[in-house]
Amino acid sequence: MVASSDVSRNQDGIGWLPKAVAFSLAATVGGAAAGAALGLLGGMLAAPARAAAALALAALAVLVVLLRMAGVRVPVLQRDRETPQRWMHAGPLGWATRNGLALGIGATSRIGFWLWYVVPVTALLSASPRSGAALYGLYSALRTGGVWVLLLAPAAVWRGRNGDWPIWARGIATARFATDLCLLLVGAAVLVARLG
Amino acid sequence: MQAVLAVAALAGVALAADGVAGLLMLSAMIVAIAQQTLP
Repeated sequence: MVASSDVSRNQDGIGWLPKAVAFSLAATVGGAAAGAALGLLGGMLAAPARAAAALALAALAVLVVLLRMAGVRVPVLQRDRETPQRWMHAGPLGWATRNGLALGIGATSRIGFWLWYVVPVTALLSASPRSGAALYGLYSALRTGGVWVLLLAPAAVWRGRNGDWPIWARGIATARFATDLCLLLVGAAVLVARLG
Repeated sequence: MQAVLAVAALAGVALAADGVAGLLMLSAMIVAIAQQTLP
């Protein structure tokens, strides 16, 4: 996140607070705008097409999780890269804003988890710019919200017993398992709601 | 095991409170936090 690289911070005398504001604001606004655009786009699709897509994607979600649980490697469709380091030369606020936009929208850098696709797909199939903006904005705000814990909470709250990495940023295996389980539940719930 | 129980409990609450929409919102929240483990 904000402090995940050894590259020069490009501080230019600007403290962390304005950068954190730019970072999280850009993320939330960018995510909400992306969700609204997807909702608007979804509204152009016929209702039966959206219903059919929801059913097919729910079945696909269940299949992906079951395959993964069976030990089959199902790589996430993504650009497996971080946000560009060159953005650090765009000035401290330029870097924070670009990074926030990219991470808030999430599609142009490492996604990591199949569950991520629930966010844009739901925004699209909601066919509602307001619902899309609310869901995507919530995701974006939370994804980048950790910066406020790092800045405002005492280190003892987030540092844990060893090391200086936030306690919530450890355990990628647990994160994979939790997101897979959640995706399975979402897929099953949509299938039951549509077919039941 | 704790993660399984936590996700299952949260999913149950979300489903009971708002049906599939609640579960979708919970998904957005869980993946947002999970992505903070990415390198």
